[in-house]
Amino acid sequence: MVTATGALIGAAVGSTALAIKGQRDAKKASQSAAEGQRQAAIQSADLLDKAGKAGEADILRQSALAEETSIRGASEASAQLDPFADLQALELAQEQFIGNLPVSGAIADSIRAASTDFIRSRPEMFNISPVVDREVDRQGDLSVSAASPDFRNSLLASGQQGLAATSDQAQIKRAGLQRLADLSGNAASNRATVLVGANPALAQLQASSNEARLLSNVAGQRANAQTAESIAGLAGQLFAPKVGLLRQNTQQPKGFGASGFEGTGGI
Amino acid sequence: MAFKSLSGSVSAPAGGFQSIDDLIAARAPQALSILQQGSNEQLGLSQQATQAGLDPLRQVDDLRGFNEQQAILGLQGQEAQEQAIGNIPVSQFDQELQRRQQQQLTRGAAARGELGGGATIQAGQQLAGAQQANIIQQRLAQLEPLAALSRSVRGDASSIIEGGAVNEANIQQGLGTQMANIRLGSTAPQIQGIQNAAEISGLQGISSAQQKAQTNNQLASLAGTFFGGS
Repeated sequence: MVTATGALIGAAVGSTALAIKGQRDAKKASQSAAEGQRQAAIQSADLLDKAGKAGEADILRQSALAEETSIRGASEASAQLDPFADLQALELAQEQFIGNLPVSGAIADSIRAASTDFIRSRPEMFNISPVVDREVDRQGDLSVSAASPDFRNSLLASGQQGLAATSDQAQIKRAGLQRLADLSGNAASNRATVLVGANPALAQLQASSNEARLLSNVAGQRANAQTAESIAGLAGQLFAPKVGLLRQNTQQPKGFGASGFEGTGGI
Repeated sequence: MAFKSLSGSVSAPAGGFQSIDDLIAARAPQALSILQQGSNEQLGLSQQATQAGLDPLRQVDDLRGFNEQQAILGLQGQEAQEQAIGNIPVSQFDQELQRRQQQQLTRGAAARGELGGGATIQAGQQLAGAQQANIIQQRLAQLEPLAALSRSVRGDASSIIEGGAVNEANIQQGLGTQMANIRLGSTAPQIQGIQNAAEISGLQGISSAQQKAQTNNQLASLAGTFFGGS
């Protein structure tokens, strides 16, 4: 009887140990799987971070190149118009129109010289007294004055051309600065998009990591419950028959039961 | 397993790819390389197009007329103006016309006996001054369309250069965005691969442990049945 009870206890202990080990192994495997998921999430996030940084660097580098090209293009385009972009003619024409001034400089000198030379180069025809000489000079100035409106118009036409070229240069400069602003804005927008674009993936990774952790906890609890269940089951399997035997043994001498209520629906 | 070349310039490693993950990882640099190459070609062609537009304009880009116009109007300094006016070419016809007009004036005055008179002096001076003014105005009239032509040529060149630069800048900036998209896009399958590998590995471990646990349970159950039933 002692040997049988010992074997029974030994079997119970061994079986329970086996069951517990199996459940623990399952729990460990679940936890290991969760840890693997967590590590995978970290590795993935690292990969995503590196890709995001490299992408941002690409955007910054290419934007810098684009800005350089844009500045160079605007500068070269503007330089084409440099010879024409001169407002000096317009300013001179304005002065002459507003003051109704005669044309000056070498144009005036040459007209005056041609006018006076007509008389002074023909001494055989004209007797040039000091009085006449002064009148010749005066007539020379009048010739300049008579021709002035045409030259003022020429100066104004040239000034208009200079104004148009200056205006074109201003437009080129404005458009160049606008493009720089656009490029900077686009670069910032693209950088932000790259950074935000990684967010859903990162959120997914975080969710996956959390999910793995939760599953691990659930698996751990389930393993504990299963272990308890197994032990209880084993205990039931092992001891129930013995308990039944013991019950039979104790009930037999009393015939219809100790309580005296058997067969009457009592407990 | 060796994969076919993705383009003329990119090919699989000599030994082939070991796994799909390797292939996915290799695709990003390949794609970036293709993109960079394509962008360089696009930039080269854009520059060629700009050059093709500028070449014929450069052949007719001549500022001599414009410079002479500016010099005559006194916009390049007094010395340049004197030189420009002094160098105005006068045709033989114009010279002869001037001479005849002046001769006609003096002969007419002489015929009227007014050669040394004030009216003759006044008329002679007016004629000579007007003739010189006319020479300069005629020259300016000749130069004006030339100057406008130069201005037009330079304006067109300016637009072509500006447009070319805008195009190049757009290509350059677009490349940055595309590269960033490729880098981020290529991580998705890689991440999926990592996740799948972790999941498979975890499931294998769980499955193996569950199998062992089941075996143990069965053994324990067997032992329970055996000893419990005895």
